[in-house]
Amino acid sequence: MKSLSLEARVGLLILVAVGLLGAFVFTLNPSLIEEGYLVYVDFNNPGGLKGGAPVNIGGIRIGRIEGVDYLGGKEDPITKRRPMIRVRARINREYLDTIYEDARFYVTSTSIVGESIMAIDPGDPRKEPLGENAYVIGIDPPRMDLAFAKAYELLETISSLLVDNREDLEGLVKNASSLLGSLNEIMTKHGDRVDRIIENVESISDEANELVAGANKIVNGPRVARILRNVDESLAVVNRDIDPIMKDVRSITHKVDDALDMIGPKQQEQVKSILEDGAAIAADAKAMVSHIRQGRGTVGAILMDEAMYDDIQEMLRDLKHNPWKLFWRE
Amino acid sequence: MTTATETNAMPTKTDAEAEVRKPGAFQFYAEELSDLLRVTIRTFYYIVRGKREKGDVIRQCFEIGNKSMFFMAVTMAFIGAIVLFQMCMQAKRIIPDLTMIGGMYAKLLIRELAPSVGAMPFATRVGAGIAAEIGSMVVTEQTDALRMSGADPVDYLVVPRFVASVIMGTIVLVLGAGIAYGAGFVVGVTTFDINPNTFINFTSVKGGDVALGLIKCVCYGGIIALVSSQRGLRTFGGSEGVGIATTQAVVGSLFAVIVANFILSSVGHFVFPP
Repeated sequence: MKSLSLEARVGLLILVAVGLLGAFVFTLNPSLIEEGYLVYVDFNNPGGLKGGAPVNIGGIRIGRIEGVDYLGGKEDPITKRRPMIRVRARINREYLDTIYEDARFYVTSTSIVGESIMAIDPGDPRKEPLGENAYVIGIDPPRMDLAFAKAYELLETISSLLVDNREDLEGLVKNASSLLGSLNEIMTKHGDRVDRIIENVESISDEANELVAGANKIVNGPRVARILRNVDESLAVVNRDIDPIMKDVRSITHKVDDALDMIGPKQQEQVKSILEDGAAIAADAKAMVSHIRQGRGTVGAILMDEAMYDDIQEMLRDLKHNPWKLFWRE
Repeated sequence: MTTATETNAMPTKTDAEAEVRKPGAFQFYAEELSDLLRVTIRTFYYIVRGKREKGDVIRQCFEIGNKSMFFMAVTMAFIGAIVLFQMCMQAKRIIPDLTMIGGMYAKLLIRELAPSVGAMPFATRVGAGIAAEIGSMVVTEQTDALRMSGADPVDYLVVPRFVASVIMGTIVLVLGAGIAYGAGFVVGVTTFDINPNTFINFTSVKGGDVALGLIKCVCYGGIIALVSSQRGLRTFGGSEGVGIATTQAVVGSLFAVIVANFILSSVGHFVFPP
């Protein structure tokens, strides 16, 4: 076999190296030949998500992060939102119809110390697909730095509290110790009495149980049931009749309202005048009645004088027997 | 433009003259640096305007690239395996999660390990060869013959080696990176039970890392050729002088690579942030 020329050998080596480098560059940036579509995901803080990070659905890589842009809370003319960070996710076109409108985009990591990746919960298949160049709001990852900062602050506060109130705390501990000692002493000295108290409490508890059982029996008895049934029936009747009654009341109220609305200032003056006249008439009537009761005047004499009453009665009886006396005088 | 006589004045001196005019350390290094600068400038000049022999670059590419490949492959495989082993051992002490090792290893390899560490065995193999070859030509007065024929030794000897070293240095180091990654992959998968799909993870590698790695490869290839050629051209004192020049070429190349690495990494940290 004829050996390769010098140029061929060198060329071959160069070719292999360039091929390896080309393959590696392609691996780094598959979008050089891979066609995909973009989805823009807005975050307030996407954690450590960086360009080139994978985009996964259920652990399967479907794309990659093309870039992470800082928008700084400026209003976006397209979405009218004010995102801090916008992530450009390039997703392979074959997944276009499998990510739906209600898809959720969140940042997670491959392991405890792993790199940050974007994961997608594709959403409800009954909804419309999300489509190309969609703008969505991502779910921010938990801020561990913030959690640590708050935990540190809390520890700092506790620490300063302990240091600043050291004497008070010492006193508190001493008092608590003393209290516990006293309690122990009491318990030791008056153990019998404490036992009796506990027995009494137990007895009271038993009696209370019996009482509750008795009350329960009464509550569940036929009389209570009957009363409740009667109340229930009464309430049912009230409930049934309350609507028409309320309707009438409302109607009356409306009419009164209307009548009151019709009364203007002039009518009010007239009503006032009528009421004053009525009061005067009532006073006159009262005076007349008083006059009549005293037997004064014709009507008073007729109503109050017994002799007059008898005379009139006799005259009427006489006229009844002798009607001609109406026309003829003896 | 300096003349060839200035650069190659030293080899024409006798040993006795050299002993008499032995310079101090500072003066020695200053002269070496200025001579290196002159050789560099003339090399770039002759790359554009030179009249070198046809096929010289290809021949040098074969000598520097193809003939170094086996040595570089074995060396880089061992380096890759050892580095990954140590990375895993240290990582396991902190947290027993090696899922990110593959990505980190790839980044480290591309940004630093393959170009800078790989350049060292490359410098020993290529630098020594260039210095010995040119040095032998100097002590046997072949360079004088060239000069007498009106040809500059830099054009005929240094330029082809420089161009070949830049091209093949990059090629060899790129292939070396691939071999080191493969060796690391084998160690990671077999020794530390890392999932192969998890290990092959280039998400943490950016385009800037690749660019910085390639820039380093190109620079180191050029630096090794220039330093070794300059040492070869300054050879004097027969076969012993060739030996000394070879040693100085290797030491100088390694030193230059390390200094260049410091500068390139510092600049790269800002231009291509990790």
